[in-house]
Amino acid sequence: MKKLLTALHRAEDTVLVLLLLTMITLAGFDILARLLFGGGVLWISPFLRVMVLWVGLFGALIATRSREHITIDLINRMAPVPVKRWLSVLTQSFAAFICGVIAWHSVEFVQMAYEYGDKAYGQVPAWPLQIIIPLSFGLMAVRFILQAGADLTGAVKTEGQSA
Amino acid sequence: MSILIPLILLLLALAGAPLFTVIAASALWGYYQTEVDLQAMAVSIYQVAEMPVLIAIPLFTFAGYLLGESKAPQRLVRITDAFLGWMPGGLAIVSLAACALFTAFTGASGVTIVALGALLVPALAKAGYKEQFNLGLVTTSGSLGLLFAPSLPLILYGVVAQQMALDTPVSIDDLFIAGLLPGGLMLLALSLYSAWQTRGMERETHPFDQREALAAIKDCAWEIPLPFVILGGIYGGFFAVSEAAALTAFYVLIVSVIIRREISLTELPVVMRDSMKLVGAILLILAVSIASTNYMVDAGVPERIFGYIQQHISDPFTFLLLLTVFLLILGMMLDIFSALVIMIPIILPIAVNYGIHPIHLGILFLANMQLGYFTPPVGMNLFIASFRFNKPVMTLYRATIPFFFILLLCVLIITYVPWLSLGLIGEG
Amino acid sequence: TTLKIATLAPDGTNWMKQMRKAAATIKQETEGRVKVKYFPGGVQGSDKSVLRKMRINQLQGGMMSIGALASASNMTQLYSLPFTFRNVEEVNAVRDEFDPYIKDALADKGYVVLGLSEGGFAYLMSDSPLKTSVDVQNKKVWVPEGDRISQTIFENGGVQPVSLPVSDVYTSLQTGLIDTVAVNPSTSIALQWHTKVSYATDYPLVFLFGMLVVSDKAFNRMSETDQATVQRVMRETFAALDKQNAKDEQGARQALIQNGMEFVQLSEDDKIAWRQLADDALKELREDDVYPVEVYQKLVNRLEALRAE
Ligand code: NA
Ligand code: NA
Repeated sequence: MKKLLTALHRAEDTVLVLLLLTMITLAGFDILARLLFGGGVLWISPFLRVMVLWVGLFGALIATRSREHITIDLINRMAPVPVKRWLSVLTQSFAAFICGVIAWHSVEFVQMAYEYGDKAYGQVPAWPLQIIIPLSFGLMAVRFILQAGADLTGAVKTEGQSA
Repeated sequence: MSILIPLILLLLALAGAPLFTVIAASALWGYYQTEVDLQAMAVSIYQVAEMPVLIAIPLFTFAGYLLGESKAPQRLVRITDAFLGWMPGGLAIVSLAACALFTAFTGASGVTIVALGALLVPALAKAGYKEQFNLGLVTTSGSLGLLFAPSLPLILYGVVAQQMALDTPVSIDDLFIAGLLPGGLMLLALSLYSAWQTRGMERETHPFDQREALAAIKDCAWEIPLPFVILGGIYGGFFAVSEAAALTAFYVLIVSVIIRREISLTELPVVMRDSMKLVGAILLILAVSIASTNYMVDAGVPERIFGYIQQHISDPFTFLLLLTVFLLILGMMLDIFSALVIMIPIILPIAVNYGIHPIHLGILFLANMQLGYFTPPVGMNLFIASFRFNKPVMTLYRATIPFFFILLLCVLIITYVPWLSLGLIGEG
Repeated sequence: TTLKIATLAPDGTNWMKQMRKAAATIKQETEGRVKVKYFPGGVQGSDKSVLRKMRINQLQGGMMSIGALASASNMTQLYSLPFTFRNVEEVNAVRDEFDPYIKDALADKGYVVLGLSEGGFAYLMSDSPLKTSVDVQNKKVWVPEGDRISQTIFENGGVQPVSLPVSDVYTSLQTGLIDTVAVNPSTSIALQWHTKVSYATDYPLVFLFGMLVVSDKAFNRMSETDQATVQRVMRETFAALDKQNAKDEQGARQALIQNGMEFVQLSEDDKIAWRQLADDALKELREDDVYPVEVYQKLVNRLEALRAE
């Protein structure tokens, strides 16, 4: 189980880094091509826009791992440790539920795009690009559940700060 | 029932649930009640892939993180010192200017305090400034520069305002110009205060040294073009914001990794991952708030609030005063990105009804939020500084108080003198 | 029933005023059974986004460019091929006969077309005078994202066009990424593009249409009398808007001339060369099913008969 998680984390990190590198290279190439030769490449701009979604959702997924989502830390900063723990179990479970609901309905969204033959841009079908939505929210839901479980058993630790 | 769900969501938010899940839950609840398929959430999230300007967010954030991890902060301090160090209060002004420029590029995510604070606090102490002043200055400067291009909050305000489809269009280029004078006012006020601090102090200034200036320029040879090309490009209308971001990220990557080799190939993935965690957190909040905004506008929430407020407040003057108080409290509790995406859809239509220009509102909103970063008791930068300099938070409360009141005065001026925000774009 | 309808048109425009008036009439005549609610200014996202929201009943309709449903049926491209029409009279002479093709094709796909709205002719506008396709070859020409027909035409003419969403055009004109656009006079003024170009080639390129569609799921929820009321009020509104629009386009053209825009005249040979270029592109696109070949041929025949009269 632990090995599986480590492998998953490494895979996520690698994909994110590759996505961002591709994005910077393509975006940089596109603007340089425009400045130097006067013409950009047609598919780069729409492709970059989709990559923003991918990079953002992967980043959010990894932020979930190390509990770095934006929160209001009002009660957490002041509450004593046991209260903090129980609040964390509650809020993480809630987050898992919401992410699960979004992931579930995103599957239908992708299915519909597939059935209607939606195009993202040009002749590129939209559904393979949209698949990141159910995937990332599903994985976030799993992660929130694991964290709620960890808090429940008292093993409060935040991974990711080590790196 | 109708009040129960929002109340539970509010409590969950205060208890520390990730804000995006709370915003998403409110939108999902709205859909559920109006019998809209819950797929609508996915449709809204996918809209992120249809907004060209958002490309700027990951690219600028990555460039800012990379600059923060390289030796660029040291070089920035050196060159500002070479050119501004001769003035009374020179080093303090150097710190302010360097922090403002750095924050404009990194978006006040606490990076400025961490990256520049470590350099500036000891240097200021050596020059004879009191510790209290140094800590206050650095903590305050952590959000100074929010109003200067290409700061992320300015871009995000433009994105959110464009979602509102007002009669007066809000262009990001105009916002960049609108922030110049108000941001400059804050910088000037703090500089004057710093200069005044040096009264009776042994001169910590040094005369202008031409050789050091030249050496500092040479040292910064790769960074100097950056603000000129980027800001000149945007202000001059040569690049779109997303193009400037692409150029910046590409350039900074090549310079720090290949030319200067200050970031190793093993460090690079870590910087990338850390910067994209912030981007992910911001974009997720933006994505779900597109859904909740849609629902809120559909349900006519801003109109109802406006109707209520209008019964009690008829003049813009009082409205602005109450808005300032409200924003200060909000800025204390919420980070700037969440505050933007949650509150702007509600506040903007109301403010427009009181005759406030959308660009002026954006600038005064961000100016208030800038103050919120270090407003006791919970401003985020207070905690970052407390952590970074290993000082009790109480010490930082005391240290930032004079800075707080100076900037509060600036915020009031920015709020009540719309010309500062609108003059340069010809709307004043 | 409430029909929530999204549009890119900003609030406060004459167009939106007329649409709101139509909504009020519908509400009154159906005694409140049918309400129409608008989301102007693109708050619901792009045409694609609006179509997705229509599928899940978050929205019931949208005002969109006629090409937005090109993937649902190629019949939507019937009027959108270059140099098909030479003047508004020709357009108005064939609409009664040919509009139903478009409406029927979309009805099969679950969309009820409540109206086609005339947007006027698009002209090539550039920073230098363009007479022949050779003049265009060293230009950076904008084509709307996903517009395969325009793209093929320009590529056949030896131009590598730049494909961008409408929202990016102004900045791109400013930065020189593009220097040539095809647009109708009133839009060029509304979006301020006219400040960046000084020459318009005075030969109508293509006649622009928008359309108001609602999903049949939503539409069929109304009683038949209410459906008829909605259809009629919208038809009358669109007829009035078309008349107003023709005037607006004339006014916009005058405003452009006053602003220093030069309308470049073409010789008869130049015009024939342009049409030849378009014809070649259409031949190439024929196999790809991009446009309804047979009905288009019928339309061309009808127009030629009209011109012979
Ligand atoms: Na926070
Ligand atoms: Na804050």
